[in-house]
Amino acid sequence: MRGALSTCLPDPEPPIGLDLEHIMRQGRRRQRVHRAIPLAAAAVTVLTVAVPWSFGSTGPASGGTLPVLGGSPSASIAMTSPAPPLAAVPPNQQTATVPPAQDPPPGTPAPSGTPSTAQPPPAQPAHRAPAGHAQDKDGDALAKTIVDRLPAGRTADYFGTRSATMVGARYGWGFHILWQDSGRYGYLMWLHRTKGAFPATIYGLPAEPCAELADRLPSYHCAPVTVSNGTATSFDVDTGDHRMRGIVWDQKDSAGGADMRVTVAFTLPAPGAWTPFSMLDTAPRLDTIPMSIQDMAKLMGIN
Amino acid sequence: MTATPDRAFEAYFAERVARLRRSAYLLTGNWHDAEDVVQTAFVRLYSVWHRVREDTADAYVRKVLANVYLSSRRGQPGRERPVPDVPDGPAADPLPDVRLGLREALAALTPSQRTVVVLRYWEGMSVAETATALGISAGTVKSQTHRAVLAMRPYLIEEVH
Repeated sequence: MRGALSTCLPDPEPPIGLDLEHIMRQGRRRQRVHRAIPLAAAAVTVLTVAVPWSFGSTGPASGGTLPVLGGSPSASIAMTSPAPPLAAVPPNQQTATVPPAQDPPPGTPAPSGTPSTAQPPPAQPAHRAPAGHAQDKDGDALAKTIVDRLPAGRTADYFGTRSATMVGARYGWGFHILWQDSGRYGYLMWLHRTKGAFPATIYGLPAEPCAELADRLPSYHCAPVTVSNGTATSFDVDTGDHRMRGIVWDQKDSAGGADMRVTVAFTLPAPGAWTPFSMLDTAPRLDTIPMSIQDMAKLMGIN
Repeated sequence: MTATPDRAFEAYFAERVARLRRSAYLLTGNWHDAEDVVQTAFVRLYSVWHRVREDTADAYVRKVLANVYLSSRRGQPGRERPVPDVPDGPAADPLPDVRLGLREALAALTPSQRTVVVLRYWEGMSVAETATALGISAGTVKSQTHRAVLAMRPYLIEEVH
């Protein structure tokens, strides 16, 4: 058979047109992108922790449960990894999230001292895009829609971004939200249209985790998620630098064209610091859509 | 990897690129797409080069190559296939019918069948290795192989006899 296959190869072969330097540059870029999330998140943390937040919840840690979207109990954003109570966080780590005084980022409310329930909740922070991300009005609008539905003070920062690539009349875009809830930081990345020319790697995610059969690597811990329309798979990836849990959700693009892919990724840093989870963490995998699929659809204009 | 990582990668690239490109050609059917697939595979390999062991690099890059090809073929069933030259006359080939037929038979296979054929018969991987590389069961590899060989059998007479 091998001999037969060799007859399918043209003879002579054309010269090899691959550029090793280009390959290595792309490889380095891919490495950097894979490391981008914790760096970007840490940068955002440093910029935002100077702002005094008035948390809506003063009770014990809520196990990572986020405010309800749209007010429906079924729409709660539930994290399967419970957050430890604040008392479990070493004092030095609790204070480590409050840096020395520094200028707040533009557009954020001025510091007003120790958070107090007597004070009005601070406004949501202004939009800010990190270096390397193109600000985008669609991403902004979607991020703002989400942020406006969260209780003030919970969200530490958010920004909409767009890839530099445009295919036809479409841009790939997504948004990022950093929130703080009961002393625990979370990071939500919501990417719209992460297929084809808009690979998730441009947002710092592993390449299409679980999206295709070929990408369902054992280390991604892919698990099917029940959805009413399309197919969805959860992933749980530990790159060694950071750990992410998320959803890849494919369905037909209502605007026509190819399938659309939505990737939602959560990073769940340890309380008090942006440190990666241990691989020995025995918390259950994310096995349900972490927010109402209907809400996701509405927010994205999908029915 | 004993040398500096970049040197080791350069050496690995120089040693394997031609063979991988041939494998990619058998998968894609043209040199242009083949080089795209090989480039993507090497980019991915380089990005994790520091974690790849010497004895597993081949398996890893073959796996990436197959998966990159399969990913690129999804959603493009009717894609046009570019050809380097427009034939302007009959080719001087001792076995033109068989050779052309085999190419067409290979091209007519589904992407997954073609990948299984290339990994098993061109790269010499076992059923188990192929199954692992593609993330499918050994039974699926066998059934894909069976269907592929059935489709190609009319053009494999020379090989069999």
